[in-house]
Amino acid sequence: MKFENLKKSRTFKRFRKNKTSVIGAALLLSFVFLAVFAPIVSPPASSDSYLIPQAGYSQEPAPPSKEHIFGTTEQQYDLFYAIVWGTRTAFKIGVMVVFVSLLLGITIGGLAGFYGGWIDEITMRFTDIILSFPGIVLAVVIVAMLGPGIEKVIIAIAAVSWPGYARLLRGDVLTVKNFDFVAASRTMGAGDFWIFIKHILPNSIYPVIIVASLDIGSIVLTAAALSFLGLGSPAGYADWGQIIAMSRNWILGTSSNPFAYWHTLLIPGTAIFLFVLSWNLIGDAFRDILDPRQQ
Amino acid sequence: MKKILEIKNVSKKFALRKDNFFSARKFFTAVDNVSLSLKENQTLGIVGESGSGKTTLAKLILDIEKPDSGEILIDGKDITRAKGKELKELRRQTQVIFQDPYSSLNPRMNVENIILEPLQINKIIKQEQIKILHSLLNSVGLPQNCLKKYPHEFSGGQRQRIAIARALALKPKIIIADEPISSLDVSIQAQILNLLKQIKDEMRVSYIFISHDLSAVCHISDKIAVMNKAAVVELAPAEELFKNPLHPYTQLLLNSVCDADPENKNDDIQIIQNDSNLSPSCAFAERCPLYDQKHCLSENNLSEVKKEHFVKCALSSQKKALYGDRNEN
Ligand SMILES: Nc1ncnc2c1ncn2[C@@H]1O[C@H](COP(=O)(O)OP(=O)(O)OP(=O)(O)O)[C@@H](O)[C@H]1O
Ligand SMILES: [Mg+2]
Repeated sequence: MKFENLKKSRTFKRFRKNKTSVIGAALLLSFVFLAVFAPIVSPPASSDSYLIPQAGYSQEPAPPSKEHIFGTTEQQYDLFYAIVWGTRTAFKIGVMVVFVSLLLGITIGGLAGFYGGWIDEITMRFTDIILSFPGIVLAVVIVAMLGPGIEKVIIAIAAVSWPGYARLLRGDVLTVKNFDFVAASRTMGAGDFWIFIKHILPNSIYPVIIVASLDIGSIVLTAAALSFLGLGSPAGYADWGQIIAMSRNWILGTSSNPFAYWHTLLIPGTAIFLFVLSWNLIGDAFRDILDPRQQ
Repeated sequence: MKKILEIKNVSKKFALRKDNFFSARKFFTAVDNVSLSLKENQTLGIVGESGSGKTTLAKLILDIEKPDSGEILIDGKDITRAKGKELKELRRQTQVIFQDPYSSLNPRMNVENIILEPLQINKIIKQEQIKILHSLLNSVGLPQNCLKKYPHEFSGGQRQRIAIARALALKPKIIIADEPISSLDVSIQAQILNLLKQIKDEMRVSYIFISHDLSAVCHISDKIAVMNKAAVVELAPAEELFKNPLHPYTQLLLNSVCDADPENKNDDIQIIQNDSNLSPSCAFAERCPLYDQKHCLSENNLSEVKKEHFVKCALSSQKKALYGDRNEN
């Protein structure tokens, strides 16, 4: 009886785990779909498709209607358009940050682990320093120095996220470089470059790539926070963080109806929430799969 | 016959981790003033218990580690001082087969790429590579259809065959086999030993065969060096060493191999623990049944007691009297 219970709960857990990751994947796929088919779902009005079309110049947001199914926000920016094209922006930022920070992290962490000695010592102390600051604070400082803009946001977030990847890779490189096939390769006359590319990286790079890809959710959240602080995209650019920033003056509604402008906050907020949620659900599933204690 | 390898007074120390920041660095001597030589198409066996420095010595010869002092001459050229092209050329001459065939093959490369790797590194032309690849598969007894498979699809013995093929690819003059059979099934051990023997005859390579198991070494070796605590304590032709072991440590090793029956054990050679803070003395003093303060000095060196039979023990002649020749027992 007891055994039966245990079995039941385990299968149940597994099932649930499976289900959440499936939900995550489905959510993510719909975002991908939205990003890919943005020009069809919401055809651009001007030549710069990331510019949100404006329906008039009144300050006051308009509630959802037939023409604007998500309504408009401050200065009549169309929310539906902003959400659809904002998906593209989110992926653009996420993928670019992951790409840049992986490039940095793999090069620096790889060299540190491979060569050891003072190279390792210096780079690891440097990563310690960066990791000792809260990432977002450091990113704010960097963007404040570089000036606002999407590219600057990408650079800033990449600059604060590579140290984690560098450390992760370094640890694996330290293990792999002691395997006998590396020593054997040396006796054949292989140089450092050959060994690093053919032996070290193929045996150490996958975990860090997976971990970094799963960070896209939190990267987009950080980017949204920077945009909210006015450090991100220029006004009118399809970017979820900025749309939320625009709702700041309308959160309280009017004195008679506190929820008069609910859509200005809730709609972009939901978009970010679902986007981050989908990555987290998938991330949890992957972490379980990668967890060596469960194998 | 020509000497293909000469090791002269080689030592290697490793720095140990400091206890704290201010304490002086301590060193551990892994190889202590070792001199050995190897002739063409000969096999030198190296035996000794775990931690006696066998692998470290192999790494020094392979130029994976640099010695603190001494010379290692391969074909008359010192690999510890060679640079650039000459170094690459010398490295080709010594290839290695490791104990653990799981760690010695890159799990992300298939058999074809594993065996071709040494050829690619040394920029051998493509058509030549393919020819060499197929003849190597033949010589080590691997089927031709295994080229696209990955190491995890093979058994330990087959993996060791792949490692042997890779070691042979550059036609080295010396192959260092570091316990090549100790991780294998007993039934497979003999197969791999025979393969190594056959390769030796066909390709006229020289082997350094490392093991802590004397019986495996004696099958394949011409000459055997016994290592204890980083130093060579006895060096003799294989047969002579078995008939007439002189150093008490060698006798201990031989005894543990030959007398499987515990009742048959020679009473004189049981595990002995002498006082561990003996005055400066021979490294084996703590466990030596013959320890005596006058003779067992730390500066004792290998000396030739018979033709080609060297031993590092001042008491060797007395010992002979004590145990008698092994043949007489
Ligand atoms: N890189 C290193 N740093 C510090 N100590 C080392 C290093 N490599 C080896 N040693 C030490 O040197 C000693 C000799 O090691 P070695 O691997 O040569 O022994 P071995 O005779 O091959 O033993 P085994 O039969 O277990 O393979 C050991 O005590 C080991 O701890
Ligand atoms: Mg060893």
